[in-house]
Amino acid sequence: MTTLNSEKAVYLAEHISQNLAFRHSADDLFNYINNLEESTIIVDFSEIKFVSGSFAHQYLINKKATPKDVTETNKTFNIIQMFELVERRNSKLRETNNEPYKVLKVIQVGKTGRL
Amino acid sequence: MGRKYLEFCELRKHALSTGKMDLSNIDWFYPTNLLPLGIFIKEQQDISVIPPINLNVLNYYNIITKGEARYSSGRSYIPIVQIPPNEYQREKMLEPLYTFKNAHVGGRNDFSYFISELVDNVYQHSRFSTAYIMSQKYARSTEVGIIDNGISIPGAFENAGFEFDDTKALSEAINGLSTKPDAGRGFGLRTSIKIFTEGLRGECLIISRRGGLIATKEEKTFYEMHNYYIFNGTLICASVPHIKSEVNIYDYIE
Repeated sequence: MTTLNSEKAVYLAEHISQNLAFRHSADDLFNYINNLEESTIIVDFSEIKFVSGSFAHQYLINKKATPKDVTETNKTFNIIQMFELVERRNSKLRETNNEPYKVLKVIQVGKTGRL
Repeated sequence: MGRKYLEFCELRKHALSTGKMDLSNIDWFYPTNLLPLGIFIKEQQDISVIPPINLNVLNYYNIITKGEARYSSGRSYIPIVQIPPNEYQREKMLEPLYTFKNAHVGGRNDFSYFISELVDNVYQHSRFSTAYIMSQKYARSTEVGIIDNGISIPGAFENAGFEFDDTKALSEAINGLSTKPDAGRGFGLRTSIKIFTEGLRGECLIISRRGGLIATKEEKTFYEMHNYYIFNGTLICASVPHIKSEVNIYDYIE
C-alpha cells in the first residue's frame, strides 16, 4: 500500500508470513525494498507472531546496507526484545574453544552408557 | 534418545547386508529413529522393506514412504514435514508446526525458536537434498527432531577451512563458532540447546557424521561413532519433559 509518493508501507505478514524464520526471507525482503521507487519504507510488523534470531540478524545487516530510509512500526514487545538481543550480537565474533571436553567411543549398542 | 538412534543403525546395517529392511518387530517409532529411517528408505530404493506388524507403527511408516502429511490438530504428533530444498514456500511450510498446540513445549516461542533456527541452519549450511522435521507428544514429554542428508556439521567446518575432527566440530558448533565470517552468527544451535537443556530441563541429541552429542543441563558428553553408527548428514533431536510454567526464551538468548 502506498501512503505517499515517496513512502511505502510493507506488511510483513502478507509479504512473507506471520512467522519470520529465515535469513533468506530477510534478504528477499530487502531485495524487494531496494527495487521500490519510494525512498522511505515503513516495515509493518502487524500480526507478526514470531521473529527468529536469524531473521532479525539478517534484517539488521540488510537495513544497515540499504540506501533506503527504513523504519519499523507495530513491533510487539517480544519482537523489540529479539531485535535488541540480536543487535548486541553484532559485536561478537566467536573464536575456537580450547576447553577440554569428554569424548566416549561408541563401539557397540549397550556399551556406551546413556547414548 | 541415543539408544533409538543406535537401534536404527542396527536395522540399517542388517538392511545393507541382506537387502531387506525388517521393520516387522518395531514396537514404536520416535523422531530419533524414524527420521533417519525416512532418509535411508528414500536413498536406498533397491532395499525392500518388511513393514511393521503393529498397525499404529505401520501408519507412521506410511507417513514416511507415502508422503502422507495431512495436519490434524487432534493428533499427538506433527506429521513429518519435508523441508523443501528450493526457496519457495519456505515460511509457509513451517506453518503447521507453529500452530501445533500439542508441541508447545514450555511455550509457543520456545518451539518456534527451535524449529526456525534449526531449519534456517539447514538452509544456510547443509546443502541437503532431503530434510525432515517432526514432533511427537508422549505422556510425560515431547520430542522434536530435524534431520538432513547434507554435508554435516564437520563437513561444513571443513569447507570453511577448519581442521577439526568430527567431535571437535560438534563442540565448536554448540559453543557458537560459525562457519560464516560475519560477526553475530553461530547463536542458533547454541541458544536452542541452552533453552532446551537449561530452560526446559530437557535432553538434546546431535549426530553428525562421526560426531555425537548428548546434552543436558548438567553435562555435555561427546561421542565418536563407530563406522556402523555414522550418519552422513545431521540429526538433531530434543526431548523435553512437560512442565506447567512457560519458559521465557529471551532469558536464554545471547
